Formats: sequence, structure tokens, C-alpha cells
Amino acid sequence: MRSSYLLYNKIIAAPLAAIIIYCGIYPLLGNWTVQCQVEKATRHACIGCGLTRGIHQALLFHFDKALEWNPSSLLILSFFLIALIMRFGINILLSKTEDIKRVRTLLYSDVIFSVLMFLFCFRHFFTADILR
Amino acid sequence: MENTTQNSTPTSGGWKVMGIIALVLGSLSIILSFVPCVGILAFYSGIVAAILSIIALVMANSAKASKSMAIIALVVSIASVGVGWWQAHRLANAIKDGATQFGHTMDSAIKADTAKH
Repeated sequence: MRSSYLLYNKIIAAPLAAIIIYCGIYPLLGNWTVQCQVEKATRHACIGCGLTRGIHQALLFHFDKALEWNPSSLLILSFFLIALIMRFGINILLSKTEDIKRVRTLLYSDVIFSVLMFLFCFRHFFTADILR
Repeated sequence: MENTTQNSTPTSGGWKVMGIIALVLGSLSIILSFVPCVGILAFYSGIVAAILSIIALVMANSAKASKSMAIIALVVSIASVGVGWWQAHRLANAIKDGATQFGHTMDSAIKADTAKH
């Protein structure tokens, strides 16, 4: 269980970091950016539109512009950053822990905290109307 | 004895790696499925994750190993498929509402135009 958990943390850290890097460098990608499926279908902006641009502005410390692009951008960025830091932190703790009970406690607390953090940061997406 | 060890190691590693890949893909799918822009795409990655987790489950079963990771991966991927479907449903409803609203606007415009003439 411990080795699987360590491997899972290492693998999931890569896409989490990739999402943050993508938001950071997306102006350099030109046409290789993610298109909104809702906007494609309806020609109307959805509640997720402007998230990449918002996170990009937040990474440049322009927080007011980030909130203008998408009100959830700061929360979503903090979710990805905290989740990424947690992967490394938990792997450091796991490498020092041999006791199976502690590993289990760490796993359960990680799952509970991650789910609660996810629900808090993404709450706007499942409560608001899909179109702006 | 040596052969048995050599044969059992790839099998036990195989289900583990497959389970972890399925779990990673499923976790990412469930995170992204809540974002409306990519939620519908997460539906498809969730299906891929569910297939991978079923393969991992079968492999773990044949290796007589712990199936917990494959089961967790399967649950997470099914949830992401469900959320992706829900996003598609929300979008369909939004389009339907938009069309109805457009219809009402057109009706009232035609009525106003007829009354003028």
C-alpha cells in the first residue's frame, strides 16, 4: 500500500504541475490551447471560461485581473498549488514512516482533506448556471 | 524456483501499474469533469480510466492480489463519467432554455409587428 501510494503521489504530481505550467505559458502556445466545449456548442461563455487567463494573471500576481477573468480562478489555482505541495509533503512523510497504521491515517486524512478542499474550491461550478 | 519468481514479478507489478494509471487518469478526470469547459471531454477520459481499472481488477484477481486500488480507480472513473454526463445534461438544458427564450422573444416581436400593421 505504501509503495503504491508513493508512486500515485509521484505520478499525479506531474499532471497537477502540468496544469499550472500550462496556465503560466499558454500565451506562448498559440493555437494549441484548450477550446471551451460549451462556447463551441452555444457561442456563449460558460462559468469556466476565462479560467486559464485568470490563473495566468494570478501567476503574474495580478489578482484583480484574475478575478475579472474568472471569479473562481484564485480558488482553483490555490487548489492545484496546495494539492501539488501536498503530494511532495506526503511523500516526504511517507518515506519517513514505516508504521502501517500511520500510513493508513495519512492516506485517509489526505483523501478527506483533498475532497473537502476540492468541494470548497470548485463549489461555484456545480452551484451556478452553466452559461454566464 | 527462480522461474516462478521471474514469472510472478511482472504479473504483480502489472496490475499495480495499471491500477495506478487508472487511478491517476480517474482522479484527473473527476477534477476536470467539474469544469464546464472541459467537463464533457472528461467523460471520455473517465471511460478510458474505467476500462483500465477493469483490466487492473482482472489482473489483480488472476494474480490473487489486493483489488482495493483497482476498485477505488473504478469508482472514481465511474464518478467522473457520471459528472461528465451531468455536464452534458446541463449544457443540453441550457441550450433548450436558450432556444425557448429565443422562441418567446421571436413570438412577441412577431406579435408586436403584426399589431403595428
